[in-house]
Amino acid sequence: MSTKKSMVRKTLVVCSTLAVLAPIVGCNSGGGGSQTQKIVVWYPDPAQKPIMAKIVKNFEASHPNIQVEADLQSFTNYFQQLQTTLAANNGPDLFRMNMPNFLNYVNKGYIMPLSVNLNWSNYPKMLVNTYSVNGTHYGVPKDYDTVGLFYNKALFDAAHIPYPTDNWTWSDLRAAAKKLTIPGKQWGFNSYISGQTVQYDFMLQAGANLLSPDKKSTDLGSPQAIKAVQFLYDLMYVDKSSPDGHWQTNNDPDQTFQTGKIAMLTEGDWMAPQFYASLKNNLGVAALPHDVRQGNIIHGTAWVVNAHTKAKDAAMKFAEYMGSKDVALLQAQEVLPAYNGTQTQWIKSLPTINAKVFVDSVNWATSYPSTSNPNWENPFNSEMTNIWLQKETPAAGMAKVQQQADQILAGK
Amino acid sequence: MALNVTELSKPVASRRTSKAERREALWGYFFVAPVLLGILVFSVFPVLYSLFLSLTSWDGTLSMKFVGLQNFISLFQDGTYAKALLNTVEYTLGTVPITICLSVILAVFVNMKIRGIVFYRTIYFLPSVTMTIAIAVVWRWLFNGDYGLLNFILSLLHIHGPNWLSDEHYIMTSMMIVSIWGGLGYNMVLLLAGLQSISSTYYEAAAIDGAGGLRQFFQITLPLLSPSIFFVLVTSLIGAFQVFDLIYMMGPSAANGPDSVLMQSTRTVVYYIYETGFNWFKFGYASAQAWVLFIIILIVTAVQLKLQKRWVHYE
Repeated sequence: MSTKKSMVRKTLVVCSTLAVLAPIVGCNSGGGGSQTQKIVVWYPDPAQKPIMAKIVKNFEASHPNIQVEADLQSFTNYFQQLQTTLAANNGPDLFRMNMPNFLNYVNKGYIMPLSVNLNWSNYPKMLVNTYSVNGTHYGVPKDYDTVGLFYNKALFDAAHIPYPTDNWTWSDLRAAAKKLTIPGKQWGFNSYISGQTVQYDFMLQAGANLLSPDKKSTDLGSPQAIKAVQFLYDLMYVDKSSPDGHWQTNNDPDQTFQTGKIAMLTEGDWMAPQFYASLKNNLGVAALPHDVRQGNIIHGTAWVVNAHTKAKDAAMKFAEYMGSKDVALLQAQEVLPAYNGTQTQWIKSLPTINAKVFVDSVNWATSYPSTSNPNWENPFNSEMTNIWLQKETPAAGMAKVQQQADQILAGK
Repeated sequence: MALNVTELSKPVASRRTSKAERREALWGYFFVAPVLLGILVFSVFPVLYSLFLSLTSWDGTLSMKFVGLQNFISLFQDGTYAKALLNTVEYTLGTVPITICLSVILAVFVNMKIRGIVFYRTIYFLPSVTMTIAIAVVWRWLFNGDYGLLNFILSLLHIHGPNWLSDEHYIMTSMMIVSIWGGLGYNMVLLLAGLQSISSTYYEAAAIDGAGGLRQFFQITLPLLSPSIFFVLVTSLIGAFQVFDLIYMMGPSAANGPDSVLMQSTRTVVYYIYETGFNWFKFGYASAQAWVLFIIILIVTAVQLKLQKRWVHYE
């Protein structure tokens, strides 16, 4: 009995000792023994998991000395987690970056200048420039997004209204939205709150520029910007052809479009596969309507290398591979790849809709307004909520946005 | 006899066990070492480090600047912190008393010997073992101003329900309702344990003396349950002052902007700490906020410990 007990105890001791030592032992053998370098890659998009797995497999096959661990991260906390680990001098060797945070990360010294062998003319100039500072390249362009006007053909057919065209003006949109609205049951349009896919685009169309060229001030309080916000506001509260601000707080715009309660909404191209999955042949897409000019927000992501990576060579090799045509073609199943010429692959994957509008829109698109301080958008988000809940008029609210945003950009 | 045996065996036993005891103590230390190490590394060190951080302006970069008490000075001039504190007090006063009163009543009911009582106890305890995220998702549906069950029921009574989650006058109330609902079960179980430790002789004696159910409740149950109520009160207040997850999951999203009416009326102190630290990366300022909250909770708890002498009866 007692020997049995002591054996149990001994086993426990051995086990717990091993458990404590295991990481140390593991580390030592990994670092000293072989030449294999391991890099960790972070990305926040669950839809791209299978593609990432394929990319890693292909890369490892041609680079037997490099082991890649691609970690899917939660999208909602992606940049919080990233910045926290980078601040701790830790973090992934390579990670996906977006425009609003890029300059901030460069300024904080989190990103390493690239030393890769890539032909930069293979990517849209706008993307390459956005991810460079004073001619130094920091990011390998991954993909890009523009915005389109999605519509539900079944609801147009039922109301006997012709489908939206690429030449629509704001008044065409407004008139159609009115006719497509059935009170309490269906709305013609959805003016939800989203700079990238709604408000910024309409502001550009009305003639606003969003950011000054030196990125030190905004024109979000200009008559043009206010005109756009007022237009979207009136669709909710004058025409009632869009659900109102309370509804927007409680409900998901994309979901309601997919269940056929909303006839039209503006969204990024990344939603096309999901919309198609639920609406099938009833899904249509047109270019965004214009006011005094065409306007669209283009946003693109890029791969960047951690400034404090311990496996620089391997990380650069992988970054270079991520900029290749092979990878672009693999990604085309899910997103619009940045590599010029591979976009047709993505368009082909959505044969029933006019997906080409997203690529054509690049011609008149403005890149996502990004500055070295991503907090400059906080006043926009706050005041949009207040305006949408009728706590503030569009004119007064947007004046506040400009004042506060300019203050943040001035570093006060 | 028994006394003798222990007295006699004492010196022998102590000498014999002292070696074994020491060995055992050593093993004891060995086995608690992982936990102790964990507490040191993951609790004690971060707490002390946050005190140090509160004296710096650290934004997550590799350089850290010592600023003395500047963070605390800005804190006392920060209207957002004051509002967050006010919201937290409102939340605490709105949830703790009601939760405790209802928990006491509930505990008395589930202490009855009726058929299927285990079923009822389980039902009330369920929210406590459900993840906050699941609770938040379900309640967001129930609270939906347009399609929610709550407003549907109200409409049957010809009441036009409010926009629970998008009206700044109701959003905090919505949080409180969920908090009370979710906190009942846990408190109920604690109080139930207290109830079951009350000797039945008191009730028998009271019944013989002719005391009715209500009188028994106020004269016997409540006083003898007061230690349990006190414990529940102290822990609930601390919990309420630190509320975060519910607001984070159910309240306005970050996309609503930090200065929107919705955020202003739901931002609690811990939520503000989170925002300051992990949205704006002002770790020094966030640490200062955390320490001020700690002091406040400390004072509130100390006052309660002082006041307990007036109403808590220990047998």
